[in-house]
Amino acid sequence: MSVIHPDDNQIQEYVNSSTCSAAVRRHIETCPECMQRASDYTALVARLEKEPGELVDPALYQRIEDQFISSGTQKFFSVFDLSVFGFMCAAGLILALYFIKIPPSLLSGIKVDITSMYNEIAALVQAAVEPNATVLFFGFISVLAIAGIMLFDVIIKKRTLPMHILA
Amino acid sequence: MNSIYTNERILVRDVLDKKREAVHFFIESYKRLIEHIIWRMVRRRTEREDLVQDIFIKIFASLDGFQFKSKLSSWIGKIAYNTCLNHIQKKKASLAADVMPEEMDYDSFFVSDGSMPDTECESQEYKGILFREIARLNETYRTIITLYHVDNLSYKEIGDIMGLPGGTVKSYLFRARKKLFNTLTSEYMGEIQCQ
Repeated sequence: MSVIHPDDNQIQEYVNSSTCSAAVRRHIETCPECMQRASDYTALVARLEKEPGELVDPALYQRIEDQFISSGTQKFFSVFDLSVFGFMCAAGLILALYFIKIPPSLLSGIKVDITSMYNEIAALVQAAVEPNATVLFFGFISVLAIAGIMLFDVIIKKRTLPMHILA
Repeated sequence: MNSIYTNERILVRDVLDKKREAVHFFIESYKRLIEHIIWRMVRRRTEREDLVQDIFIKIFASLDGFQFKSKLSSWIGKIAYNTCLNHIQKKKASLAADVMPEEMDYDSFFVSDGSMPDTECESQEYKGILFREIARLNETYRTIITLYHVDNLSYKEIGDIMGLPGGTVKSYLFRARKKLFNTLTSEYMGEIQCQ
């Protein structure tokens, strides 16, 4: 009757001693051939677990630490923050167009009639928003909340907009 | 270990506030993990230091975006692993298998406790064969072997770092060890049991 020995994976499981079945364990511990293989695997694993020595100059880490602490690294808003910021700007513009009306006399000296252009756009916005006054109210509250959060980020967390990207 | 920083959130907060103690603790805690990943993927000493710096710069720059959805070590390991991959792809940097023997860092590979190699029960020849065989593995296998055996990470943690399922990590680890085992037992009969 031929004996079926555990394969390499089962012997490695035995060496890991984690998920090895009782039957496999019993076989390995009673079979000199398999015990030898397990012993060889154990020796290999022991060698692989050797920690390497210093791999880089230890002084490098002190330099990295000093540079990071002394650097004026700015904390930038994330892409998500910037998206929210964009939404806030758009919402703020709509609110401005809805609420603010420019007197025709204010910009009368300028060749291009900005006042009438502005008022025309504002009239369109008002016509679109008027039926949704509730939505407008909550939009206004949301914009205020987001503005507050971003102001908190700027003052407390000292974050800035990543203007270097635009540059 | 500093008991103040057993909590990752506190550590990250203090590092972002640039508290020296926190920054020092952070670097000390994760430098070995980063080194081990670089060590297995990029063999030239000169490139290692640049990569260590690059990786820490990336980590510090994006630390405030860390969501605490994974372990901090997995997140850091992932940055290190991806940076090394990019480095290899961009600059065609030398993998261990491509490095000339004189450039290989044998000492750091084998000696950790300051003891002389001769006092250990193994010959330089055995070291050389083991080193060569590990170097012949692809960088995925090499990295898995290091993270599992040297850094004692779980299959899942290694998978998080390398973007692989835990089962695949286990399978690769077993394959890599089998390959090493077969070569070492055939080319170096007897010595392996000498431990």
